[in-house]
Amino acid sequence: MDVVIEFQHVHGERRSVRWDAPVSFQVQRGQTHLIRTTSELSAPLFRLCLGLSEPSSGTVTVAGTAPSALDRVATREFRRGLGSALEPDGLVANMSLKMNIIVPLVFAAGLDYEAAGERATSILNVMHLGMWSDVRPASAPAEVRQTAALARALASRPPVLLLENPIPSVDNKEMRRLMSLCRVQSETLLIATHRSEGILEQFADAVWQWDDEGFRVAA
Amino acid sequence: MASRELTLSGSFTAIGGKARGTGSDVAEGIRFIGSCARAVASFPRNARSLSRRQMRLQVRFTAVDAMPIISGLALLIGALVIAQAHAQAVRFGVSEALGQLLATIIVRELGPLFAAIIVVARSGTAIASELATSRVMGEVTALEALGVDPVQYLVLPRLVAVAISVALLAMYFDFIAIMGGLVATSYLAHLPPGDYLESLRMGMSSLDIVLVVVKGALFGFGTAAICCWAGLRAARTPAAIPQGVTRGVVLAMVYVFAISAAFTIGQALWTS
Repeated sequence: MDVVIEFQHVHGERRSVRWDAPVSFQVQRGQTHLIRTTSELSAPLFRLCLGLSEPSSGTVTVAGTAPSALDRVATREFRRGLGSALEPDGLVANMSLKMNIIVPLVFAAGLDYEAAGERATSILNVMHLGMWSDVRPASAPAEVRQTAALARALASRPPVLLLENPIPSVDNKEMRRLMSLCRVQSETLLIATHRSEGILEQFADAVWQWDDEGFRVAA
Repeated sequence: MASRELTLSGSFTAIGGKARGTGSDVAEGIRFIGSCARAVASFPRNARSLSRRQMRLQVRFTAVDAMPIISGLALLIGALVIAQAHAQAVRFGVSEALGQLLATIIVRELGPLFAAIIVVARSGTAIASELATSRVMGEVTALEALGVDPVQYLVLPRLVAVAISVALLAMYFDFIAIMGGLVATSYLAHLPPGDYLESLRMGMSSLDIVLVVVKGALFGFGTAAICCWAGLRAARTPAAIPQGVTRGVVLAMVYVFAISAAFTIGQALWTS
C-alpha cells in the first residue's frame, strides 16, 4: 500500500518548541489514523503536514511530497489536494457559512461561482446545515460552526483529509454520521482529537497516543 | 560620565534598532508588492465574478457610504476658501478671479487630498483592522491551508475598489466644493453665477480633471495596499490588531501627503 502521510524522527517546528521525543508514523492510502493528544501538539503537527512550517529535524512527507521544500506556488497546488479543518475553525467572520465554502471552491478548486454555490448548498444540506447557510459564523452555535468548517474541508472532495479536533461540540450520534461521511468522501484521514471518550476510535484503523511520555500506539 | 556614555550608547542602539526595523519594513513592503504582482499574474479567471462582487461591496462602503461626510466637508471648504479669498480679492480688485482660485486650490490640491484623508480614516482603518482580526482569528491561515492565495482573495479586490472609490470621491468633492463656492461668491462677492463658472472654466483644463482622477486612483491604491499589508502582517495576538491599524493609518497618511507633494512639485516643474 502507498504511504500518504509519513513523519520520520520529527522533533517539532523550526524556531519553535522542541518536542520531548521524536515523532515517527505512517498513514497508508485508504486508512484513517487517530491521534489522541493536546492542542499544543496537534497544531504544529498539522502545520507541518500542510507546509505552513518546517520541521526542525527529520522529514515530513505528505502525498509523496515534502511540503516545506516546495516554493510558494507549488505549496498552494499541494494544499489544494488536501482537505483541512484546523482549530480554531477559521471561518471568515464577515461572510455567511455558504460563502465560506464557496470561496475555497472558487479560488482553490477552480469552480466558477455558480457551480461552487451549488456544491456549497449540496454539502450544507448533507451536513444538515441548510437552514444556517446564510448565517454568519458569529451568529451560529459552536456545533454549527464546527460542522461548517468540516463541510468546507470536504467540499472540494479531497483524497486526503486532515482534521484537528473535529466537531468537538457535536453529539455522539451526529458525530458518527459525519465521520462516516468523511470516510466515504476521502480515502485517507489523519485526525487529532482532544476528547477522552472513544467515538472517533470506532472509525480509526490505528490509534496513537501523544503526550509527555511521547508518541506511541494507544493502549 | 559613565552614565552619559551609557545614555549615548543606548540612544545609538535605539536609533540602530529603529533603522533596522524600518529596513525590514521596507523589505517586507517590497515583498508584499511582489506577491501582489504575482497574484495579479496568476489570478484565476473563474474567480472574476466573485471578486467583482467583493469590489462592489467595497466601493459601496468606501465611496457611497462616505458621500454624506464628503458632501458636508466639500461644501464647507468650497465656501470657506471663497469667503477667505473674497476679502483679499476685493482689496486687490480681482473678485472675478475667485473661480480660478478655487480651481487651483481645491480642484487640483484639496479635493483629492481630502477625499484620500477621509478614505484613510474610514476605510483604511476598517481594512487594516478587518485583516488583522482575520489573521489573529486564524482565518487567513485556514484559507492558506485550503490552497487559497490570501492576496488574491483579500487584497486585490480591495486595491482596485479603493482606487476607483478615491478617484470618484475626489471628483465628487471637487463638484460639491465648486457648488459651495458658487453659493459663497453669489452672497459674498455678488458675482453672477455665470461669471463665476466662466472664471472657473478659464482656471481649469481637461488635464486637471485627468490629474484629479489619476491622483485619486494612486491615493486609493496606495492606501489600500498599505492598510492590507499592515493588517496581514499582524502577529497572532489580540494586541496586534490596534498596532496594525495604527501602523497602516500613519503610513497611509504619509504616503498620501508624499504623493500629493510629488504631484505638485512635478506640475510646478512642468509648467515653469
